[in-house]
This record gives sequence, structure tokens and C-alpha cells, in this order.
Amino acid sequence: MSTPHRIPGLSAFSRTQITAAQYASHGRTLQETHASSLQTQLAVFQSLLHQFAVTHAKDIRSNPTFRAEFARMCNAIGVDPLASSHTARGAGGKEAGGSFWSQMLGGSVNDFYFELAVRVVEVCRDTRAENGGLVAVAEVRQRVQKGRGVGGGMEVSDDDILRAVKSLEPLGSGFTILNLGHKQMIRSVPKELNTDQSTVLEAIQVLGHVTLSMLRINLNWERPRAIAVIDDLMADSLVWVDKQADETEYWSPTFIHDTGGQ
Amino acid sequence: MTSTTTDFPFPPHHSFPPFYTLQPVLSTRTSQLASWSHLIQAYCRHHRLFQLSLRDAADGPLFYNRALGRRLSLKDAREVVEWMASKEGGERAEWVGDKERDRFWVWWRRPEEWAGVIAAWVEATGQKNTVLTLYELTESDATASQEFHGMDPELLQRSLQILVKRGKAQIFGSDDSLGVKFF
Amino acid sequence: MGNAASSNKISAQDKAILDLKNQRDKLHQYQKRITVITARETDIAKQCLARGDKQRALLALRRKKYQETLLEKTDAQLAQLEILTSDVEFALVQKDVLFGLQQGTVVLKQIHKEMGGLEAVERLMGESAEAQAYQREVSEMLAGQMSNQDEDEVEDELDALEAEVTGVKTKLPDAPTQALPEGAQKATEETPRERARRRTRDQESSQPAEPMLA
Repeated sequence: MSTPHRIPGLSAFSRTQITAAQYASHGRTLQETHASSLQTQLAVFQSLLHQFAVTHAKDIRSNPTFRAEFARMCNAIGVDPLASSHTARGAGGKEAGGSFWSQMLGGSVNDFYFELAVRVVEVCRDTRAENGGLVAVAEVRQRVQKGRGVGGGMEVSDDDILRAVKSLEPLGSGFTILNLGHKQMIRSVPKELNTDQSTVLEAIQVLGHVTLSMLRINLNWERPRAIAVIDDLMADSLVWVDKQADETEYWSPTFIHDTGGQ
Repeated sequence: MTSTTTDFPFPPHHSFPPFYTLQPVLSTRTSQLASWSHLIQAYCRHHRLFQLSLRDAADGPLFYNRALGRRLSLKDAREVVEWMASKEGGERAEWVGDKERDRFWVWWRRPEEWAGVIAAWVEATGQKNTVLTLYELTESDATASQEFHGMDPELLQRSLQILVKRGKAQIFGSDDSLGVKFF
Repeated sequence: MGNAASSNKISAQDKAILDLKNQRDKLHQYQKRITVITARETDIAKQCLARGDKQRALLALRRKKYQETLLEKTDAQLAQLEILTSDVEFALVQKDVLFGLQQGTVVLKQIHKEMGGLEAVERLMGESAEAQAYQREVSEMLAGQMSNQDEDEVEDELDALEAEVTGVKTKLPDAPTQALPEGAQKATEETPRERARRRTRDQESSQPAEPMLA
């Protein structure tokens, strides 16, 4: 369909105005008289989403990209795909929607993240003695992917790990995500890091280790302060000592499994 | 002693300098000892070694990482073995002889586990009630693919004795040409 | 070993089988070690040939052949014994089995003697008076122990080895009109009997007059 060439100007402008006005009145009409049909449409959409989740349950479980897309879809329409049997939620619309949506989406999505959360907890617990309860998200993902024992590995993304950890928060488990330098870490013990400790750990990220001299020179710290922080970090198993270097070095155990990736 | 031609895949701890310093903090140290235990067992399993001598192994790739310039001292290695031999360490090592603590068994499989493996093989190959020599169990072509091939003769006898105690086998013959029958 | 009650589970047949298997194991062990020794003997033969010392090369190969025939002998005996010991009516063949085991033991003892080790093998090369005396001793021992067929096979091997070492072509060109080289003509025309006679002459002439030990 070809439109004859028109000179853009008044006529075009007025055309848009009319259209907008028409839509506005139409919208009002919709709001007033078709509220019930909106509900109907939403209900239809919800059931479609439910169907979708059930049909593609396998894909949701096994494919991280697909899963990410699905989660984005849910968030776009204001649905939290994880709201479910975690009953201890605060007041708010989500609670009412919680059990409703768990029914809607079927068990699969919730089961998936619950299972993943369990694995994350296991990994953190198993490695706590080595890393003091501070472990890189990337390392946790690697370990979960490798799997152990009967369950085997789970195909997951860093995103999934983060979501799983967040879903643990309401349980008061002491699991939190924190950013250290350019890395995302999972803290699995309740004890928080103070500023000095975080600073040192961030400094360690650069080379994998620090010495007392390095701390004093680069951070301008007095010797007692540097020693105190290092002692704290060691006591919490957040740092290992290497006595065979020219000057004693302090290393982060996260370096052991660091493949260099983000 | 047999060894495989493929290189042993060292775990990431092997390239971590502090791994060669015994950590002063207890919880960290425990994790470190466990990691050393796994490494020593895996290394021996790969090379089909059943015993190690600390002195002989001191300059080898197991305890000395040349590229890193770090080594586990003899004193510290002894502590690792002591831990491995303890209940806490799962009794995965045992000193040989009463005198000096240098040679030790590395139980990447304990004698009880070996007894099970051997008995399973005998069963699977339909050789129950057959007379087998101790020599052929560890040296014949028939067992070349088995993990107990090339096993230390003393360990073999120890493992078989477990089966004897359970009435699952009988050893007979003269000392340097022993035979065994499985039931 | 073990207490009386449990040793009831071990029969006379079991014990005979154990003896048999122990002999087989010894043979297995010897085979492994002999391979190292015979490989060295072949090396020595090559080196001697390179120097033009055919006598010593021949001795090394004869020794190797002898060891190999010993192993074959026991192999055959053991195969025989295995059949006997698997027989259900063991009591009937027990005597045969025992005799067979005894024979086997004799041969194994001979093999064991050959386990003198690599130093003994090296003495086949030596020039000293002691080494030469050793070489004579070995030669005499072998003379009584090897069949003519064995000796034939040794000579064939020697020829092949010589060709390899000196690069002389033993394969003749197709055209029948070409005259054959003198040496080759001699070798292909000699009958086995003539060979045996020549051999005896060679051995007698290479040694001082000493009685041949059977």
C-alpha cells in the first residue's frame, strides 16, 4: 500500500493528536467497562505461563540460558519464580502470590532452585575449613557443575547460584553475597568482614598474596595494624601463610581454585 | 614397582605455595592435612606404589615442587603421615617397622578393601574353588588390567589373610611358592 | 599354614596343581629374564660379526638357541601336566603327574643355571685366557645338547645377522644367466648332512684336542 507523498507539517501533527485522544478515551472505556475482561486476559496469560513451565520443565532444569530467559519473563510480569514453600516471608503482595505461583509454575522451577541452594550449602560447608567461609561464586559454580556422588552435576550459571543464595536469605542461614574487588563471593558464616579485612583481601586479589611490607607501603599502615589484620584473617582461615618466601607471604585460599575467569 | 606412563594430574593445591608450610591455625591445618592425604594417596594409586620412604621421596615431585621452589620438609611430612595413620585421618597410612619413621604403607586402599577387590575378581572370573598361586595373582597377564597387579607381596598376604579369617579362602604350600583357594 | 580343620579343604590334587602352577610361574619369571639375556646375546653376535669374528658370534647364537629350546621343552611339559591335573579321576594319573613334575624340575634346574646373568653373557665376548676357557666350556656343553636341526637354525640366523651387519645382499638378482657369487653358491648347495659334517670339522679345528663332553 503506497501512501502519497505528503509534506510533513500541520496535518501530520494534528493527525497524531487525534489518534492520542482517541486512544485515551478508548483506554478509559477499557478501564471502566472491560476490567473483567482484563482479569480474564491475565488469567489466560497465567495459565499459559503455567503450561509453558510444565512443558519446558526439562529445559528449565537443564539449560541455564533458557532458564535465565524464563526468569526474565517472570520478572517482567511481576512474578517471582522462586516464591514458594519458603513460608517465612514478610508482609506484602508477594506472599499472597507465593503459593499461588508455586502452583502456577509447577514444582520444577522451585525444585530446581531449592536443590541448587542445597548443593551450594554443601559446597560451602565442605570447603569452609579451607577458605574460612568465603568462596568465589565461580568456584561454587564449578563444583556444583562437577557434581559429587549420586546426584551428579547440575548445569548452572553464576546467575543461578546468586538466585539460589538469595532464596536462602529469609531462612536466616547466614549466607550472603558480597563483592570483593572484581569478584563476587559467597559468605557462609555470619561473621562480617571489617573494612581493614576487606581491604587486605582485595589487595590479595591482585597478586594472590601480600606481605606485611606490601601492606605498609601500599596502604600506609603501621606495622601493628597490619599484623593485627593479618592475624585476624588467619584466625578465621581466610588467609594461609607461606614461610618459605624471602618475606613471609599471606595467600588467599580462593586462589587455589581460581581459573582466572570471572 | 610399576608406574604408568601418563603424567600424574596434580591437584591445584600442588601449585599453592602455602601448601608446603604447615598452617598454624588448627581448622586450616586440618583441611591442609586432609588435602595432603588425598594427594599422597592419589599419587601412589596412579603410580601403583604401595609404600613410600620419606627420605627417598623428599626430592621427588610429590613433596618438592621445583617450579614453585617450595617443599614439604621432612619433619612436616612426618606429621602428615602421623595424621594419615590416625583415626582422624582415616588410617590411610601405617609406619613400616618399629624403629624409625621413614617407610610407610600408603593405604589408598586398605587391606580390607583389597580383600574385597580380589575376591570380586575371583568371583567374576569364575575362579572360585580353583587353586591360584600368589605369584600369578599379582604377576600374570590375566591380572594385568587389575588394580592389584604388581602389588607388594606382603600386602597381598595381609589382604588374603582377611579372607582366610572370614573362611573365604585358604592359603597353603611352602613359603616362597604359596597358593590360595577361594571358596 | 592354617589350622587342621581348614586344611581339610585342600586336597592332594590341589597340592599337585599348586606344584604345577609354581613351575609354570617360575617358567614365566625365567621367560621374562631370558628375553633380556637373549637380546644381549644377539647384540654380541652382531658386534662380533662386525669385527669379522664369526666364531664368537656363532657361540653367542648357539647359546641363545639352547636357552630358547629349554623354555620350549618346559612349555610342552607343563601343557601336558595341565591336562593331567584337570582330570577328574586324579588318583589314576597321580603317578604320571608326579613324574611329569619331576621331569619339569630337571629342566627348570637347567634353565636356572642359564640365569648366570648378564655378566656371564658378557664373558662370551672376552679375550682374556679366562674368558676363552669359559667360551670353550660353553661350546662343549652346547655341542651335546643341541640337535642338528637346532644347529641348522642357528647357522641360518647367523647368515641373516651377518647380512644385516655387513650390508651384503643375500637376495640374488632375477636373471638366471648371471654367475652366482662363490660363497652363496656354496651355502645353497650344501645339503643338511654336508653341513653337519662341516660343522663337526669346524668345531674340532677351533679347539685344542680335548674330549667332547656329552
